[in-house]
Amino acid sequence: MKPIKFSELSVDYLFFGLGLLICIAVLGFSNFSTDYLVGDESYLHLRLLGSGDYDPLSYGGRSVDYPTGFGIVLRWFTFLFEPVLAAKVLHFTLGILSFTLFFFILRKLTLLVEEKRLALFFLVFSPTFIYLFSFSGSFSLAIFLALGSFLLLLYEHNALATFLILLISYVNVYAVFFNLILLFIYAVWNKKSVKWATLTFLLSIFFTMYLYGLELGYREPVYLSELISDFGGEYGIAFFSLILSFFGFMVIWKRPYSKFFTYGMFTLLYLLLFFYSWILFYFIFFLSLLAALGLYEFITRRWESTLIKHFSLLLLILGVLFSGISYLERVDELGPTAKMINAFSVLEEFPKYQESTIFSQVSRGNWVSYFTHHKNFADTNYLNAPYSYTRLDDHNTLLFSGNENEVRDLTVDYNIQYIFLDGEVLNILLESGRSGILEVLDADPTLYTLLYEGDDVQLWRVNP
Amino acid sequence: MLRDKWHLYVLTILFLSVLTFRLFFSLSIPGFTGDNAYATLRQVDHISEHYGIMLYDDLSYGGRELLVSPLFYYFLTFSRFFISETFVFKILPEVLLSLLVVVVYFITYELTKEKGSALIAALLSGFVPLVIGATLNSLSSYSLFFLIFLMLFFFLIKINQGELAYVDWFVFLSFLLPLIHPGALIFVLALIFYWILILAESSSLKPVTTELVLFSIFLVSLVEFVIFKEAFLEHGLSLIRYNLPSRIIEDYFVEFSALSLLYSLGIVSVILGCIGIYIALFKTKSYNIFLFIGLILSVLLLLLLKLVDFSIGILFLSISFPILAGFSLRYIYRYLSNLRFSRTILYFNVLLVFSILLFSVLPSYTTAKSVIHYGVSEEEIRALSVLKDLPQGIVLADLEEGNMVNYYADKKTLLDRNFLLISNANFVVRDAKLIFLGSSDLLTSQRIANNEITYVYFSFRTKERYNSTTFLYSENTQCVETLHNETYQIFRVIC
Repeated sequence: MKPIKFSELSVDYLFFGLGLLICIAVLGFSNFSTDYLVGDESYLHLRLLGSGDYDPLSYGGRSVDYPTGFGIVLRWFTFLFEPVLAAKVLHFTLGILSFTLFFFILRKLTLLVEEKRLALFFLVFSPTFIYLFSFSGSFSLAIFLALGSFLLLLYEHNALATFLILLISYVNVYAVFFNLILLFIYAVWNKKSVKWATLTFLLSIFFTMYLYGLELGYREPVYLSELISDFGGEYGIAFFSLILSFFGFMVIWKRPYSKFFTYGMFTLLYLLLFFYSWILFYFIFFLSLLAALGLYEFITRRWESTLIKHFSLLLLILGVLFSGISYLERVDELGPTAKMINAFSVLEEFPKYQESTIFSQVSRGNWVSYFTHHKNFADTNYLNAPYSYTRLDDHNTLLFSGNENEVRDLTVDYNIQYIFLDGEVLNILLESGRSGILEVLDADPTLYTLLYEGDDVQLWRVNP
Repeated sequence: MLRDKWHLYVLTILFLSVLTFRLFFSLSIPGFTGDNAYATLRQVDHISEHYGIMLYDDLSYGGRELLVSPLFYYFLTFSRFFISETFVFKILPEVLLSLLVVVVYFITYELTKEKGSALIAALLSGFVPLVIGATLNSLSSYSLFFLIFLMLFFFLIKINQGELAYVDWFVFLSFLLPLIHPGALIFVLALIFYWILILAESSSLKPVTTELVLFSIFLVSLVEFVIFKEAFLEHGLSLIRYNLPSRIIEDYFVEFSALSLLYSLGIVSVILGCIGIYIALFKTKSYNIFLFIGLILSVLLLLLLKLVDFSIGILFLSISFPILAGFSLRYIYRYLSNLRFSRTILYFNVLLVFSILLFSVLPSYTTAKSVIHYGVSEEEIRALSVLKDLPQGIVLADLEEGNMVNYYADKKTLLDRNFLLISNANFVVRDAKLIFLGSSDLLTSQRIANNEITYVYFSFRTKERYNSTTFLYSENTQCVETLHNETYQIFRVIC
């Protein structure tokens, strides 16, 4: 009997197939393990489905001056599935396709085949990837398009790449700008495509500005613990992948790759991470590659003690798996939780006065509007939001000042009829040792009435 | 023969002296000092009964989830099967802590190759007032933790010297360390600083040391992530300080003055230790000492960022200074031997021993007396048995007495020192303080009602803490009934 010989190519596809199966299992679990949709932005698109010029519920009413591409694609999916399932299927499909694109991009890079194969697995088990293609909303489509454009660029189909880059403007503005910066660094490194990159850069910038104007909107502060999933970050990177990526970084130093591209790219990503946490959605593809380089270095380096080698490798692999699996275990805690949805259903039954608003934490704004069909005070869609900075200041005054008169004035100014508080804001108040809005609500039962109190959720009515 | 092994005899005497000193105080009262001892006892009882760690505590904070490093509790439970309870709970921890003297001796000897300096370091380590205060009669997991912690350093030094037989031991103990106490993260941080210091000297670690350092970083991180996963998600990096409320942190920094800190660490240790750091950084190329400088730097960094409980951070400092002191003595002796006066070393030794007696042994003695004074006496156990016979209800006891009341009275308590996963810790601590101070009857009654408090336990420790002779609120209202009115007062809230 002849021994079966595998070519390098077929082994590559074998690993890809295995990775794809794991990817299907992981994204399948994260997307379909809950009956409801997890995440924030998807609820905005689920409510509007990319149609209309005016949104009557967001920020008390605003014109739709933000990208709606994700909502439009979501609408196509709703022809086949009911809306919540459509959002899940869309995320899932984009995840599988992006994983495939990543595989083909890796095939074009001058790295060792083992490193490329390992990178696939680091990507699949990273909490950021799981979040991106399960709950992130428009970023899932934007990253898919970005990967597509990069692959086309590698195959030198520049015109098609430009088309995809321009499409991103319809999906996510932040992704456009960042994508262009990466593109420019690549072009300068590659030298062949500088003219094309400059043209695409200018075209895309003008096109985006034409569509949405110059203002990028409010920027949420980034905390270190948010960037690492094991420290509680919602879509942070895995701690062990981060450690390995440091070693990968050192491996790159020793290799004859262009220092300008790799280090320029990483410095940029690293710096921007302190300003925008969503940079992680891009970072994770580079980080998976670096972690793979780091792990491969660990496997191939000469160890003095094989005992320590085996233990260390086992610990590293367990660590990476632990981050991914423990993240999957807590996807239903990311919100909205079942308790919140119950509370919202209570609110839906209460009378709705004309033009009245529900006050909640900003991060709950999209949920409030989707589940209760009431106007929200503010939500996380900051781009071109009316008076967003003033509203966010007033939001903080309402939550944390504890000043009865100020709170009362603001409820009148914004026509706030209900106040929704959940575990997160209650915890912030408890941990800071401040009573904030709780003290005000408790102070006078004639002004505020507690309508509903469940586990970690409170609903108050502001009495006229 | 006798001349060759004189140092071992002295070391044995030293070990026995420290052990006797500790046991003399520890066995003088039936109870323990500090609330943590009772948390340990409750865990050990739970393991004996259910063969597993207590993960949900019905009594603490009126019911809460627990996250603990389990090995020390299993170790005590296992020992209890074979030895008497008194030995396991009272004597065994003191033996383990006294063994630190032996480990410090061998570490310092490896660093200096001088028996005299190593013996002085061992003596200093046996009588650090702060260590005595934190560990005497307290059934503390630090007893096993510090022993393994220092042994790991010792093995690393031996491995650096080329003795690879210690690698397996290092690997084995690295597994145990994070299972005893989350302070294992400080070990990891110390190794990282050690690595940085070596790199800063334009040198590099031996390949096997690099492997061990990396292995320890991976292992400790993974084990801590697995044990404290929920707490990491809830508190993020501030888990390292055990979710300590800001009020408590502020209290610590107010309580400690630089002078009292110097006194607690041992003046001789600190002065000689600082000289040791200077010599290590600027005068020698002995990289093993960087392990302990790395430890000091890591603790200082954590203290600076307020990421570690102040008392724990200082405890780690206090075990590294005697070793650094021993290291510096080698150079001081060399310097003195070059002087023209023939008896300089003798005079120096007399001065040194006298200083150690004055600044380390004597303060340790007064600290030990104070520790025993604050321990649980027969009288207190009797008072708590009164509480035990009453119906279940939430007891307000001082922050440092929660687990003790849980243990002796089998009652729920409002608070204790374990704040992990307690989201409203700041509020509870504030309420407890204001109720004990009882400055406004109306607010006190509101706070008692809000926290559903049924009993108030007012010990002499609480009286001292709040500078009060009795529970003020009980004197101004008919709503409080006195159940026990001696040194340890117990009140019941009746309306």
